[in-house]
Amino acid sequence: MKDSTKRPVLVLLAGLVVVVSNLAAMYRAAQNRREASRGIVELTERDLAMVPVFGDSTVMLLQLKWRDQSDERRFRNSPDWFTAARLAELGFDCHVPASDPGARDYYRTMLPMPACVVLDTKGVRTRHEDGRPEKGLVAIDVGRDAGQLEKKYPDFTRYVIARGVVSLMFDDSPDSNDASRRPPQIRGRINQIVPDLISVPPPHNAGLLSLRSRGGSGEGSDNREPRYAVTVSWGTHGEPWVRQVRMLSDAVPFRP
Amino acid sequence: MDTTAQHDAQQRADRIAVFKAELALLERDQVLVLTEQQRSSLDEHLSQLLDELAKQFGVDVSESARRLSWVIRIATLLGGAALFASVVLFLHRIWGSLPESAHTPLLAAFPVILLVSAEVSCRAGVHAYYTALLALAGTIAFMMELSTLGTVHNMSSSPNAMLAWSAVAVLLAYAYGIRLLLAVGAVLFCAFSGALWVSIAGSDWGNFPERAGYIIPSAAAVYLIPPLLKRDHHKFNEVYRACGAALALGSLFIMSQVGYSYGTGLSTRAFEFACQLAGLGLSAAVVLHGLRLAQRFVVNTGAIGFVVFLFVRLHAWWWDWMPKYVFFLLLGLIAIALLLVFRRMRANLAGRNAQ
Repeated sequence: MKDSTKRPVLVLLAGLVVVVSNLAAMYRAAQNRREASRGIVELTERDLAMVPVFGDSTVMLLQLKWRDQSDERRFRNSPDWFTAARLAELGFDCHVPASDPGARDYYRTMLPMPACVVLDTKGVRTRHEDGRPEKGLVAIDVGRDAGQLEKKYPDFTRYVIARGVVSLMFDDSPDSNDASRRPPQIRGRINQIVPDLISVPPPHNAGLLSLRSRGGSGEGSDNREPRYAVTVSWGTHGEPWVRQVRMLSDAVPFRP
Repeated sequence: MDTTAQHDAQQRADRIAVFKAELALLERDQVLVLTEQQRSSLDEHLSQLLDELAKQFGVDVSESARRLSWVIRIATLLGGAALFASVVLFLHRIWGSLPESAHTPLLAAFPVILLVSAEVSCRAGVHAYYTALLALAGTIAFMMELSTLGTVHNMSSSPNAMLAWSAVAVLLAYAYGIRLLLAVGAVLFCAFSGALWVSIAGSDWGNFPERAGYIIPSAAAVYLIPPLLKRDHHKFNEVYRACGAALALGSLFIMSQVGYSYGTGLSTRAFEFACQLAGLGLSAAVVLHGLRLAQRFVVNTGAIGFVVFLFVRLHAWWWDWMPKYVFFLLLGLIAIALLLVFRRMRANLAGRNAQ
């Protein structure tokens, strides 16, 4: 075949790849939304903060703000229940004891793994000075098998089984509160929830766009009363979508 | 027309200009004197040839025309980038008011329109530079569009997107003879294969650069593509070799820094040392192979790899205990020694060519 005949065929094939890729993405999204098997929950502004955008963009993205139950700052996203035993259940090879001289070299090159993360929408994030608990989205469990976690946490109006990335953390730094060196330990860490940005399509974005246009970004959402609540579903692939947005304060509908 | 034919035509026009200048010098020095008839016949032939090349391929036949062409190309590139940015920002502006059902078709239309524009411009006989620009814009648009689609539908990322991007880049590279797109396609394909291996091994694919060793088999395959091809389409063989060599050497470099031994049983230090030695050896082999094939990019890739691995190894051996001025003095002396070796090699090559 001459070059001049091949060229349109190659361009056509390239176009076909573009179309097929988009169709495949759409099919996957449709499959995910077939059933909200991994949670249908209402989250407020404290759990889903507005992401600032540049210029006059009308793209609306909300960032998932979850917490762990770890008190120590340096163990951020590394809850106390995420021990070496839990890591081994996930598939991390933890056979080398933490006290072994070669443990640091062995564990530092381990790659993070995908896993399912269970988020409790009524988990205790922190306590106020008067002892009152502040509740919100808290990571309470991890696992490889979403089906098993669905059975363990059947209340899908309270628990979400999201996709995430977890890693092994080898800690052999001295305790800042204690002069003596504490023994090295292996802990698990929840690196991120995937995806942690949720797109809000029209018409659900109207109230949020109005809020943003009036200068109300997501900053300081922890310290004030939430202004909106969003019903989010997590589907068969553990990917979320927005079902409804409810404004908790007066908002003028957005007109672009 | 494709960029290779365009490039070859421009090179011929340049050779004619050089030939005319050299002929003038030879005539001035009385080394070669043409008769009137030979002179006018040669001038007529060259003039017709340059006219044909200018008409058919749009080549620049004078220095001032060449400079003006560069200005036009830069203006086109900047103008095209500004239009691209304008469309993206406009989409951002209206996105929130478009119905959700319109999002995907609108996103998918963007790269398709650019691909169609590239083909239309090629058929219309437009200068190959503009066709290449449209094809490149189409590839970039596809990459952005697929990423945006994932964000819009809240999908978790997948390495399969890299395979799709690679396919489009390679197909367009072959359609229009664009070497840059072929390089992009080869790199994306190797990245996809590395990410796939990491994913199959049970780890998060996003961290595949930390397991750069998984990229080496596909990099070697890219390097070995040219012998499998019947002919060198658009002089792509050099691109395959340079990309394969760069990816393999880059992977070895990362492996020598990360400290993961891939289950070889070697200690971290021993494995890193082995990777650096392998990198040195492979770089030297790539340089020699590139010299044999007369492929400049391959030679340069191997040379850069050799310098980097040599510096890293010497740094590991000497930096901690040697005074710094002595370290850099030794580096300079090694560079001079290498220069002398390469000059000797060049002299031997020149001697062999003369024979």
